[in-house]
Amino acid sequence: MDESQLLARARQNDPEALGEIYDAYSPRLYAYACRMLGDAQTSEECVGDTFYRFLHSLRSGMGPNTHLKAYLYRTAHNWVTDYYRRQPAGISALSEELAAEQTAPETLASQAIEQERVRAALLSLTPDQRQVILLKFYEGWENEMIADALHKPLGAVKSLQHRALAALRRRLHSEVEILYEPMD
Amino acid sequence: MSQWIESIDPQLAEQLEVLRTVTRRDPQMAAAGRERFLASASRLAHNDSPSKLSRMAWIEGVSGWFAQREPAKLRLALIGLLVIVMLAFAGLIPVAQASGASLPGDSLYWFKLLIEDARLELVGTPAERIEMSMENADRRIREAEAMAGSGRVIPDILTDRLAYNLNAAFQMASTLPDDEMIPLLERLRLRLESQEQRLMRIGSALADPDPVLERAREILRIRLAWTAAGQQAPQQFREQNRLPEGWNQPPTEGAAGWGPVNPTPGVTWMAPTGLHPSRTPATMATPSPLRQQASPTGTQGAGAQPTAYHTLAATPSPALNRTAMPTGTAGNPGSTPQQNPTAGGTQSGPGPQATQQPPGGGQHP
Repeated sequence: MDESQLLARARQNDPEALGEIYDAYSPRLYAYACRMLGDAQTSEECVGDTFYRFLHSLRSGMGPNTHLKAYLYRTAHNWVTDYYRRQPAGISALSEELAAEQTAPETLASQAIEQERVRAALLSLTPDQRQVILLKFYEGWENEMIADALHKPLGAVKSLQHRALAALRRRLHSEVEILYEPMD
Repeated sequence: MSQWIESIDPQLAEQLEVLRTVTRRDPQMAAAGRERFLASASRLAHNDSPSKLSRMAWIEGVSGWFAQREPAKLRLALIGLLVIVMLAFAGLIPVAQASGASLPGDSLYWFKLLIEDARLELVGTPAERIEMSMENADRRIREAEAMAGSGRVIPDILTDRLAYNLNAAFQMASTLPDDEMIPLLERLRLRLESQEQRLMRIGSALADPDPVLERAREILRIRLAWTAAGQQAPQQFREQNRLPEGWNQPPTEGAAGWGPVNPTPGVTWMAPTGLHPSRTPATMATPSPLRQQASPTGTQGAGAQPTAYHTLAATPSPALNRTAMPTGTAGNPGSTPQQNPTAGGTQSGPGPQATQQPPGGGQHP
């Protein structure tokens, strides 16, 4: 079904349309949130709040008429940004993941450390830079769609992308250099 | 997309890959989330009115805007500006209150005028604008009374503003249809007469004639003639009160910009009429045709020739109509020989047509 038709039905509180929207987007939103949050329960909370805000927008006559996907990702992204702002620095959600997986503990630990390091590097970016990398690298979005999600022109998205990659390179490479620096 | 990933630093791409795999979503949690979402939709549909939700969305939007991080500098600057504006307004309240009692020449008088102009801009209907303009003109008279009572010299700004206030009222009156304009002009005439009488009383209490007060009275007298003439010839009144260019520039205290275009503050509006209220007391002493025909006694006023309006202050309006209009109404029951000494004088008197000519028929240099 056409997205605008689906949204029109959702505005009329059609449970079938709302369910269809949830089924289509919640798994991807979950993955998107989990990538940054590293915790299944918090990610579910993010997904739930994102859809609740979407409902409110529809009921108040606002919300998207098109680009629903961009709207939902933008809402989830704002949720994650707010979440990290509220959290004290250094909080990690890795313990749950470590317990849940069926892999050897040492492999898991190493993987978790590496994930946390990359996540920390992503969190060191500006929210817009971070969103560009998440949508482009992990979600496979085109620049035009990212521009829609960020409400920015295409040129700005390319610029954000360039700066984000440079910042990540600096951050991750310098950490590697420090890790492998020979001891005196 | 893979092309893009290949185009970036391979080492960086490899490092970023570690976050590609995420914890598998628990199907039960996913199902529970879906159920909660649909239950929320159902609840919202039944319980919340759209207006309430709209308000909530607005509040959320505003609070969300303030809560966002980027761009922090712009947001901080805007918040700072908002705080400054609020503090400025809070600080202006006592200044505005204090300026209400200020008089021409006081340090806060400009603020009082500023508030007057702002209030005038805010009113919507012509009737409200006229009323407010006339209230402002009344205020000028009260200021003159206060200044004369305390022995202070009345500055020119008072007459300039008086003319400006009256002109604003007249201009708005000229936009009304005949059936509204004619009764309004009668009300304005009565009000102007009252103002003119008050100025006359101030002048009579002074030891020496005050040229500024005389000019103020002249301003009122000219407009009295306009009100009388306008009741007889509304269309001519409209043309007479058509705004000259730059009409909406109020005179301000200490303004130095009158220049050659408007060398005498407060007379811009009078130029089309030919009646020049900016004449010096000496020129004002020369009776205009209007005065010659309507003020034979010469017993009123302090330093100025009495005019028809002095007599008319306590006289029903038909007498004024006879005096000021060219058509002549000698048979009007309200007429008296004193106010209308010669029928011929009334017939050729300076009605609306006469106001297009210089006073005294060009007798003044």
